[in-house]
Amino acid sequence: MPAELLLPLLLMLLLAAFVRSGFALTVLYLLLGAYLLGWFLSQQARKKINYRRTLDTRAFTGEDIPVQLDVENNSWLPVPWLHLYESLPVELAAGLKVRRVVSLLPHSHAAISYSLHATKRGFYPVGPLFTAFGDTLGLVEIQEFMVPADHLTVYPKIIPLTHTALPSQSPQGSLRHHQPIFEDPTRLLRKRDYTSGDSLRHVDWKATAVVGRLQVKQYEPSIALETMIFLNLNTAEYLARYVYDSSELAIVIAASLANWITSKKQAVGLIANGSDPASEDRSYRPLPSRKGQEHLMQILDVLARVQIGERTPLIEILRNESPRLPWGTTLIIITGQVNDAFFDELFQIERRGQNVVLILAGYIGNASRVREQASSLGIQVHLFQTEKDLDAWRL
Amino acid sequence: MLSEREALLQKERRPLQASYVIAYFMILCFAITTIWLIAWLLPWWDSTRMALVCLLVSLEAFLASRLVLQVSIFRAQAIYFRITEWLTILVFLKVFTELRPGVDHFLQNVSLWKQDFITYFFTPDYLLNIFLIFLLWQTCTGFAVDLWKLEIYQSRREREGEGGRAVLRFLLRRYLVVGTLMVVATATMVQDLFGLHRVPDLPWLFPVIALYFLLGLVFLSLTYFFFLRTEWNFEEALVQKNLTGRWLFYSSLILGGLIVIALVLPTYDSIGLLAVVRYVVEFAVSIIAFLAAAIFWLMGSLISGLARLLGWNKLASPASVAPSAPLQFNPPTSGGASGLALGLSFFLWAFFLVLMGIAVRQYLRANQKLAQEVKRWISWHWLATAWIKVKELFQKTSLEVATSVRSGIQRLRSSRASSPLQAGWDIGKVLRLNPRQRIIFYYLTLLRRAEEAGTPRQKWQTPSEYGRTLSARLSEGKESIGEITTSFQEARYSRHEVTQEKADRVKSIWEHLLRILRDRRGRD
Repeated sequence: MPAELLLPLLLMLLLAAFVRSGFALTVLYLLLGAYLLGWFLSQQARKKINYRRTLDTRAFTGEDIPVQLDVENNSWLPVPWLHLYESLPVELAAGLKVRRVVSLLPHSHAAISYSLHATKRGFYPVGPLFTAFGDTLGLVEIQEFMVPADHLTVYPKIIPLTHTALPSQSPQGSLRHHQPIFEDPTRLLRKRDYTSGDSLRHVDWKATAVVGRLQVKQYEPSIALETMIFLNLNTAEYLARYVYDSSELAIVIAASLANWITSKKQAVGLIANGSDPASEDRSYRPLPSRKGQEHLMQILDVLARVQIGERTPLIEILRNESPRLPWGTTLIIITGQVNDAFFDELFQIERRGQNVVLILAGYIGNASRVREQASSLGIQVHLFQTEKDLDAWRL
Repeated sequence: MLSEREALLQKERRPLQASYVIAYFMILCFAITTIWLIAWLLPWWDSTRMALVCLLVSLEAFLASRLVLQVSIFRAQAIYFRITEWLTILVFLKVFTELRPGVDHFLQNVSLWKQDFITYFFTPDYLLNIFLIFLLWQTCTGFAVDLWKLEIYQSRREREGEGGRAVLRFLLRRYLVVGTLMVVATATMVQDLFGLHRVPDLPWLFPVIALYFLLGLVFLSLTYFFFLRTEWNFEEALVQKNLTGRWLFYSSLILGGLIVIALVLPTYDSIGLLAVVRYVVEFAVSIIAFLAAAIFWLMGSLISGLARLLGWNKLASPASVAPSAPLQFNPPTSGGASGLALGLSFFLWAFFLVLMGIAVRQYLRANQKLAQEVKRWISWHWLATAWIKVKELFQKTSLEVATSVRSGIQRLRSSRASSPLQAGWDIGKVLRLNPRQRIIFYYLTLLRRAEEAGTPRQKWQTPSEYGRTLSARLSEGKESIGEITTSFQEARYSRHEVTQEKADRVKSIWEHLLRILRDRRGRD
């Protein structure tokens, strides 16, 4: 109760009680009633108003996301005024302000619709919704209430790749390979006459019976692209001037490659040293190599959320994680800068029987030197300064 | 031509303009009450047409204040303006005071100024008029300045600190201070607090005060709406189109409700506080006495019933234990006060005490130091402990009662479900049983009949073992015995649903077996 109101009320009560003045009591009822009615209205509004936000929680870059806010008054009393303010991320709202003042009749509802535009990948809070309500006389303090935010994931841009130069040594895969080293028993190429040295396990007994001479099955050689993408999101490993653009390009490359590998029905995983705002301790947990669209969506979810910062250097992560990966796995390392120690580590990985593809994203000052070093160690290296450079894998 | 923004601001200033009008009428109410008070205190004062003068001066004060605030003039110029304004008011008042009795009186007085200017110019009537007008002018200016501040707040393009909110607080304070003064003045007159032995005959006094407070609530609503609109404009919030209409509607509704409340609720106490407390205590005691009598009567009835059942005829009859007179609840006599008067007085004093409690709590909350001191000096510890113990006792008792009632009900239910036949069913009850219970019923009846026929079930025998014994005795019903035994086991121990068809089938077997038993007994 406002202090301004309390003193006159007491004075009138004393007058009513001790001077036996009835009209003072009438005035007292009037003032106290005004306060209590306002208070009761506010309390009802606080308890009986329901808020609901409806939106698709996932979107691709460039999409419009319609959002609807439903405010429902479940009380038998009206809400004279209700101020709603939806806090929106600048990246998606672009000057949009969702501030409304509505009045709700008993058991009525108000719907507020607006649209967000996914311009940039990220993990955005839509909300919280701040509400304020009170009486019509200003005697009751304005009640404020907060409705928690929902989160919207905007996936990074995916560039549809048509071919890449990713090597693999893993047998039993599903991509054709020009070197007949690893034959896939599930891919029958043809049948031919038996020659000395052929494995008896490859003899096709039915065909032999038909033809009347020994026939052997010949299989198509194939490789598996068991791939792990290592994404560097440590600020220190990008050129300071281009850190933001380069890291974003690195994320686009990672997303595009993951999409391409999945489309080829191959397994792909992701290890990044960025921070994940969705996890409790903001730390990122690696995604193991898996096949399928569902797994790709998980990777894209992570790539949407992950943020650059001062994190563990990628070289340490490579040291810890690469020995656990199977032989023949292709390690796609996407980073901004490399040094000699980094190349040494990559060389060690190659020696363990894993393939290394180094992708440098953004502006590289010493591109020719990097190329030379990589070629001397037999490491495949690709340099992408802009998204346009990825056209090399599109055409 | 006004710019679009200016036009919008003008439109949104309408509640504020209405507030000026309402404030004007509120001040008129205040003026009328003050005139009546002065006239009551000083009966020689001539209050003729003073209301009209107040009306004019209030209007002038509002307009002049707006003008001074609106036209950005220097401080010195404002002072000159105010001096000129007051000189004009004083001259106007003097002329009015002198001309009121007539022109001759005025001319006669003017001739006396030469003799003693101070005495004949500043007459008591004139001085009182000046006092009244100054009071009014000051109040008007106060309201006008606060409303002007709100207007200024709106014309700025952004929120500034407490700004409008502080002005609203000032307005509320001003409204309440003026209103309280009016109430106190009226109480002084009505109760003759100065012992003047003159009770004013003013039937319009209370309605004027009530009108002031009602107008004040409308005034608060309008200024609050204006303030909120301004705040929402600062935030560029989109306001629902019909919000103004709804605001007016709800405010009118609240105001109507308040008028009803104020008219319905009691405004007098026919019974004093202590008397009300006595009635409340008496009422509580009589309820406790009634409950105690009811419990004793119940216990007496139980004991006498038990005694009769056990054949202790010597024991006293229930009439000697129960109260001799029929049990009835006698409310305490209110010593001549009617029930309504008692109820109204009770409400009034309860309201008084609750409001006092709220006030003390609020005051202690605002003054934490004092609250600490109070806690230190008055040991509330024993009171708090006692309260906790009483609460715990009530909770424990309530829990125990609830637990025993619940377990009693459960026991009753389970006894009904598990041994439906022990109570001795009749055929009407059998028809109301579900299929499972019916099968159990047929089997148990068969047991009784078999026992009567000389083949009792031994305690150690399972249904299957007993079935074999019975089959050996009744060879013609061997298959039926096996079937009814299996059906009984299924009904008794299985969890799956037992169908009506199954129950009907068991019934026909049971009837068949009963016929065999009957025949066997006839043959024996």
